Amino acid sequence: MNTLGLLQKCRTNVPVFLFIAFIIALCVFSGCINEQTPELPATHNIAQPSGTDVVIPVDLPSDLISSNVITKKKGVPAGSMIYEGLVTKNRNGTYEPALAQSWEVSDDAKTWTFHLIHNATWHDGVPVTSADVKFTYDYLKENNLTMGFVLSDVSSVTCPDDYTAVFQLKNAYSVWPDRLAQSPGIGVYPKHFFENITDPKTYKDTEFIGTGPFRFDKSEPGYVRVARNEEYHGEKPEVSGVILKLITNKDSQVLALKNGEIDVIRDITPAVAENLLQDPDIGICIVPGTNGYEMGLNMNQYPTNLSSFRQAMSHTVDRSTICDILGNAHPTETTYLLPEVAGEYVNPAETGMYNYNLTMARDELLQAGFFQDEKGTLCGPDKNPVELIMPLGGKASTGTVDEKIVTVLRNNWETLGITVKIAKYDDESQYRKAIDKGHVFIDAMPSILHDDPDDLVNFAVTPLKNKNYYNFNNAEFNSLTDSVRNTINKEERKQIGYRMQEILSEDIPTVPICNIDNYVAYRKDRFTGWEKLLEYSEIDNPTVLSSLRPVTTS
Amino acid sequence: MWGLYIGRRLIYSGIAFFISITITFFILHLMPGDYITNYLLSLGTVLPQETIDEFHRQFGLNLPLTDQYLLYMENILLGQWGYSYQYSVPVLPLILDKLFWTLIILLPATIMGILYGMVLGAYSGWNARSKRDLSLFNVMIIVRAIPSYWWAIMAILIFGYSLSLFPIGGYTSISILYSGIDPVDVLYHAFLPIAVLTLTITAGNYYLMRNSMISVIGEDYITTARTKGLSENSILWHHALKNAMLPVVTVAALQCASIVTGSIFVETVFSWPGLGLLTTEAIRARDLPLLEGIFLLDTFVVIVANIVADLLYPLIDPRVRAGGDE
Repeated sequence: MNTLGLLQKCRTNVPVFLFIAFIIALCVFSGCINEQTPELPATHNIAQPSGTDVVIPVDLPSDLISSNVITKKKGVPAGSMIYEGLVTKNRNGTYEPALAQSWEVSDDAKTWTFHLIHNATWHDGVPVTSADVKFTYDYLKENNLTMGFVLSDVSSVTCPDDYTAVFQLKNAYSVWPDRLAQSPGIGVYPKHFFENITDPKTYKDTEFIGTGPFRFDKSEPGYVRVARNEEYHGEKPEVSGVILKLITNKDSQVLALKNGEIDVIRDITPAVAENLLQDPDIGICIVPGTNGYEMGLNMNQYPTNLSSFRQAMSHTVDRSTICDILGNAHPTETTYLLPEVAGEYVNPAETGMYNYNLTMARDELLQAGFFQDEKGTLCGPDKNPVELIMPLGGKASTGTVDEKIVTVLRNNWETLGITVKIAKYDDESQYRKAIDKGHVFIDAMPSILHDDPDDLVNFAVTPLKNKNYYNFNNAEFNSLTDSVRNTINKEERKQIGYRMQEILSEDIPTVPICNIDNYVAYRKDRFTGWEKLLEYSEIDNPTVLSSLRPVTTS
Repeated sequence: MWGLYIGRRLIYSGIAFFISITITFFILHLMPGDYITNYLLSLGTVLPQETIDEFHRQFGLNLPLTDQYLLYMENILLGQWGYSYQYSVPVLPLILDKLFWTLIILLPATIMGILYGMVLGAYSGWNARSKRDLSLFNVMIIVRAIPSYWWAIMAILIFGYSLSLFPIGGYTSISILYSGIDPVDVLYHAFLPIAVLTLTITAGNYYLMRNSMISVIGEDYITTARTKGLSENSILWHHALKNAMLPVVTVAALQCASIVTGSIFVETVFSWPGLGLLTTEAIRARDLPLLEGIFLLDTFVVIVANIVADLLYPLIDPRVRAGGDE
């Protein structure tokens, strides 16, 4: 048959060819429909993650994955799904095993011995041994990597056997695992991999070999996927993987949650949480007391350098109104920032010291030689009007919490005749400089950093830190900071902590205000198990992610 | 003559480039705070002084500022732009990667914004004070007055969320992890950011073109052309438009140069991290090598844009000769 004939045949058989094409198309599409995928909420033509991947949003591109994790300065292990350290710490202040199954400390708190688990392997199958632990310390030190500062208390690391690592510290440190576990913590890195990398500062990692419950799968613009580690030494996650999705805008994250594009978001306001609850597929988890807020007083500036003035100011904090405005806050009324987390370390004698009482505040100011002139302006013993400069910025400005607190404080201070000048700083460095020149500042700190007397070092002057934001310098307090670090016995540490709190309550460098709950919203129709957040706070905590279970659909 | 002008222009531009990057270098280094200090603040912990000193030593920050400057200039000439403090990767590839994504939305938006602005402005100016002109003018006032991020948020709410016609944000959908980058998917995600940016860029160019057109149509040669019996279309296209375009050309060249700076608001709202967001992050973190690289690129592009604008002028208006006034 020639070409013309063939064409004629095709033209007459067009309906047949179209029908065949239609059948082929149906076969292809039916294959896609019959695929075993979990039923997901309607997401308006948005592509779905495969299997049972949890999709978590991140705010910044630098939160995705660093091509050089050994120099990445965000630390490990709390935020890392791929890498692990020796120990972790939960919100209750309990240390939990990670690569170390147990550990002990010498009586002088200078020798820490960690016993590694025996069945841990790197993601490429090589077993983890104590040589990796020693290598990590040596590598960070020899290459002068910034993260090496976490181990700066260490003078040497020895490995008596394959599963024991002994750290010799330069000085006694009774809560040294805190350094390993958080802020920023430190991971253990594979010796067999990095020993061949001679310039870690410029090396671009593409393999990310760790020991965590998830291993690196792939990275694309705006996304990172980590897959379940099938050989994980601990409790293997039930989810197939985790996808980090870059969504820089919080409002877009909320919309993406509603749309089903992501599975969870953190740090939402109470108003947004209330709105999201109207969706039957969205649940809210309230993680209590995540951040603590305080009113810091600069003891180098007049009049906040006067103990009597600070004493009076401690009675001007209307915690009840502040908590009402914030909506997700609870008052804190001790010299400690977060009593719920600090538990028995909170000195009960200090509770209720800073009660809100404007009359008492006024009386104390009068006794201190302050007075109100005919216009009602508060004047000091030097007859000059009292004016307080208050910079706003830093961590406390997240969610404009500081502005809301200051609104309430300002009302009360102006009632007392105090003039308040406020300056807002977007830049952290400038804000910190401004604190030194101001009188009062509002500060915030994650609760996990204030659950032990050792954390009161923030108020101390030490060889490592020759001043603090409050310009508080008490010789006894400084000395107690060393003592609490050197003391292992819990009861003794508690008593030292009590005395430190007494000193703070006498000098009042700061007045605690409240601690804030963190609202986390999640899709109930995708995964259960988000309640683990109550123990670990962060949505990207590997323990939280490992506890998630896909919702089974009929 | 032309060659002499080009040569002289390049020399002057080179001097301007050199002065600009020098000023930028010193301003950046005189900013309060540094990377390691900001890093400390984010951790809430104390860094040993030797760690801080080592960091400064590694990046040459312990040297006198003039030595740092000479080192910086030497590295620039050798094409070494340094390593980012936060990302620990070479600066130039990082910038180029973000520039690629920025160009995807800003390049078409800028071109379309300039074109639409010129066409609408010319139409409006040509029909100045008519009902159509007033309507268009008032619409553009509203468009211009409302910040770009509001338009972006509304676009997401209406077209992305309520009507589900477009994605809420991001470069691509999650399918990129399974089937790689799909250019159609990227364009689909880029549609809303491009539309919003085009809208806001159009408004500015509209005003300029309209005002320019209004001043041109009052000129004597336009009256003469009408007297000669030329059609309105002919007068518009052959006489008015060319003259009215001149101020717009300069602004358009600078707008094209500003593409590389990105648009921080639109990038943030649409989760499209380009150079705008990278710059903001770098400023916050005091990532000096990254900032120096970004501003170096910005300076270079602005200077090139100015040269291009100078060269375009004689093509549009033969009365203007390159270097003719010298």
